[in-house]
Amino acid sequence: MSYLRRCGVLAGMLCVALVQGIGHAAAPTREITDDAGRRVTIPENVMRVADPWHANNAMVLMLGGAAKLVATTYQAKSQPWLRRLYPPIAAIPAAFNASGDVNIETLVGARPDVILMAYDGSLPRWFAAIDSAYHIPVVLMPNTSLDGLKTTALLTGEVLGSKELGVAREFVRYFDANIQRVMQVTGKLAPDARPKVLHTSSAGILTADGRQTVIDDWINIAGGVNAASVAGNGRPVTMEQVAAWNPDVIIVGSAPNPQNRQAILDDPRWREINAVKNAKVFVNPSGAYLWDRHSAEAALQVLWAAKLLHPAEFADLDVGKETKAFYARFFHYQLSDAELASILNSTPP
Amino acid sequence: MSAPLIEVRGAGFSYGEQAVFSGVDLEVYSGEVLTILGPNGCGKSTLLRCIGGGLALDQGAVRFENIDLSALDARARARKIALLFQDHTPSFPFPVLDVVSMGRTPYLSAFGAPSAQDMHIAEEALEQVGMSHVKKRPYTELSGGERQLVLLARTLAQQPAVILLDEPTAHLDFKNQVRSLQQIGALAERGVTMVMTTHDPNQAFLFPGRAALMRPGGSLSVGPPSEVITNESLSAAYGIAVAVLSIERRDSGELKFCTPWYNWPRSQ
Amino acid sequence: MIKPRIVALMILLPLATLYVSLFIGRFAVHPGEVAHILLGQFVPIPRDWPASVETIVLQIRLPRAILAMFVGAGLAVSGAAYQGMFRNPLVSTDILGVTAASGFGAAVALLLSKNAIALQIIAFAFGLAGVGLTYLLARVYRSTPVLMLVLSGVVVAAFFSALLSGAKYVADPESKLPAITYWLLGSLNAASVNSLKMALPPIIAGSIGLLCMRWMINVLSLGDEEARSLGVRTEWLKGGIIVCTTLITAAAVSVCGIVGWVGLVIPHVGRMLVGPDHRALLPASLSIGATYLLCIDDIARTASASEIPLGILTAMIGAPFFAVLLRKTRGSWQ
Repeated sequence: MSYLRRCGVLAGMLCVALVQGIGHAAAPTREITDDAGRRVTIPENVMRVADPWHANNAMVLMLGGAAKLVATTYQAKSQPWLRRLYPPIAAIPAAFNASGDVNIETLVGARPDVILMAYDGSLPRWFAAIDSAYHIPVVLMPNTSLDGLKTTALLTGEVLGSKELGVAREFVRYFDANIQRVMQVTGKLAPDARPKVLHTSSAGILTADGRQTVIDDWINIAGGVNAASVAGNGRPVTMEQVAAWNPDVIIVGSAPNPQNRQAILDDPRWREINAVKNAKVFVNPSGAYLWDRHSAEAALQVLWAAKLLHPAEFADLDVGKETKAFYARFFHYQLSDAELASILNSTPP
Repeated sequence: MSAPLIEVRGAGFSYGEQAVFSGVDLEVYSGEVLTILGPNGCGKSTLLRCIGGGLALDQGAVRFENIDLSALDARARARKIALLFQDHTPSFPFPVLDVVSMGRTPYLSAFGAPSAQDMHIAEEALEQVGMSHVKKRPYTELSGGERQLVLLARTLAQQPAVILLDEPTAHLDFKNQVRSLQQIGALAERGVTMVMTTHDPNQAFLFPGRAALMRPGGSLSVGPPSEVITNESLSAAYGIAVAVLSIERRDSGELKFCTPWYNWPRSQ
Repeated sequence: MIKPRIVALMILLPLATLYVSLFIGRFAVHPGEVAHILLGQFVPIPRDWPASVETIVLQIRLPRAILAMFVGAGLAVSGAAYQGMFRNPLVSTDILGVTAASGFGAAVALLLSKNAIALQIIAFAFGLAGVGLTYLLARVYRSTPVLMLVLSGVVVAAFFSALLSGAKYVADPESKLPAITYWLLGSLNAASVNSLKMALPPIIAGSIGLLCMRWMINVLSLGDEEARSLGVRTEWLKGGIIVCTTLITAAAVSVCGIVGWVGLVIPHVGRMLVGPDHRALLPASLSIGATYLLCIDDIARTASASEIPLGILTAMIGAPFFAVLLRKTRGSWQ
């Protein structure tokens, strides 16, 4: 190449670099503090959000950030009610598979401005790659308690934008109001008036959800006591152990299937358990996400559980009415009676 | 001569494309010890296994007392023909007597086990080869030679019409070779019919019966050892210079033996 | 053949362990109560025990204990038969791929949210299919040489293991993935009268079949060609052994997941007690295997509130034991 042409090419490259640099430097940013105490720098206007946390996808939708969701999980996409409330989710790519691993190309191809993630003390394998190699900011949010759920709502709202933050604040106020309403009654209950509650999901093996979980929290708020003396979610337990605990109420988590309730009622090994003898075996409702886990509908869960455990004290509480009101106010969706029934019975719409 | 016990006609066998032998004709008469010799690779072990029914011939047939061997099922065959294998790897430390009693398997039903009568036969067989003193020991503890005799007892327990021995002295030391051959000789004296392959031409001279010299490709010359085993035939078969000499023994007549005929370096 | 003392031990020990298993556990039951409850099934006596205790003993513990005994016995006798057939002390029941295939079947059933009965059937069917595949792969000129069987088993097991990994990959991590993972570690958690009715017939049938072939396994252990020269129809015999052990192992895996080290270690214990003759070894393996797994299951369900998977316990005990055995025998059979 001639000397002149070389100079020209060099100059052209310098110009491009300059423009790129200017372009980058021009985007305004802000800083937020996430639940792990990290200060994360995110764009002033977040337009593209990736959410590998199944439960939080419903939260993003509820706060109004549906249009900003660019990468989600396979499980969130297959939640039947989420598809009903927000049909476009079917077109959003699932960059995160069921066990939380990420397809880097899909994720980076979606060009998210920020990633929202659940944080229980340990980071997934791909965190370092995303953080250091691709420089996509990650905001960590708590996932082990109901209080943490409120923090999650506020953080998610903060990330998404001021309008969404407003909705988040409204949601937290509503949540707190529900908890207050319930605690007014259950807070005064004597210890022996609190029924023992076993929450199980039983996908092929017998499991119980124990202490230090969201489930433990709402059981306590609703005026019960967790029958399972184990710690953590989904701990395998023996039939004998359940018989020793002898719960008064059994709540079957809707994942993986509500048929477990019928199986429990039919199984001779469960016959002598208090809950079975008194026909107090129930399926947990599920809507945009499972009510009993970190869903936004945990606000409804405390009402439902309280009414279940103490029907006399909450005779004036109409869970159906409250659910319709919630869906109208936060999901902007009018539930028919049939749809309401399917949510409360945890069947697909 | 009476009718042969075993008749082999036009036998041929190949491993895939490779022909091992073809066009083999052979008879085995009751009461004789037929020794099959030949260089390595001429197919004598393969031929023996074909006669025993362990391998199927590609051409020709083996007839046993005028019945085609392939028409017999494994149990019927095992009651008539017993095999002493060259390479036997012991696995479990079964007691010696149990190993010998396995020779009674052809007489057991599909789910059976040896009866008291079977154990008695096994004990007798062990006695015949002179190994009764080890009957309770685990047979993996025996030396190579002792194990050979135990396996020989097992073939006797089968009460066959013919015993086929595949190079019975191949892995034995000198003393055990002689012991083995003495046992075989004792059996021959009692009139047990045997077919033996060997790489040592001398063994053909030890027992009453014919010798068969096999050449690569399968051509056999069969006849009395003194006729079949000569300087010329051995030199041609093995491709080395061999001399067949004879020694006069005062009490048992002429004893022939073969030796390579070279000028070895002499010790001074 | 075997000393009468040892025979008595082989019969009494499993029964005694069964009785003990009925009153130990996290739910306190008195030994006397157990005796009364059992007696009350056959003889009309006044029922002075609470209904909940009867449910615990008869509906929860008894089926589980019986299942543990039959699974332990079945796996042990299968391992002994295979070690004889393959003439190798390191052989276990998994060698032809039944465990990997069955495990995959169970994972599929869990993914499809099937109930316990369907899961058992699907896992059992996959186990049989896996071994069938191995057998077909190993056919060479109308025979199935031992080496081909082993290699085909490795291939088929690897194949189903890969499929299993795939199943775990698509499983929902909140519920199905932990269920699959836990199931694979082995547990008698789901034992009930129903699972007994499904698992016991194949295990009993397979065990009886193997017992019938005990002497022939002795002869088979000489090697294919020698056995054939003694009149044994080796292909039928090997096929029969494979069918029986597969029935047993597939049934065991379908009902309690993957419990390893039983088929590998118990036959060696049996050989130390009664010698290598399979006429004694197979019955001894039944008895020792039953007692062993019953004890392990008692620990699994009693040691902590959260159940310890069986597979972990059998590995933690079996592997060191086998290491000691290896050192003592220096690799030979004695």
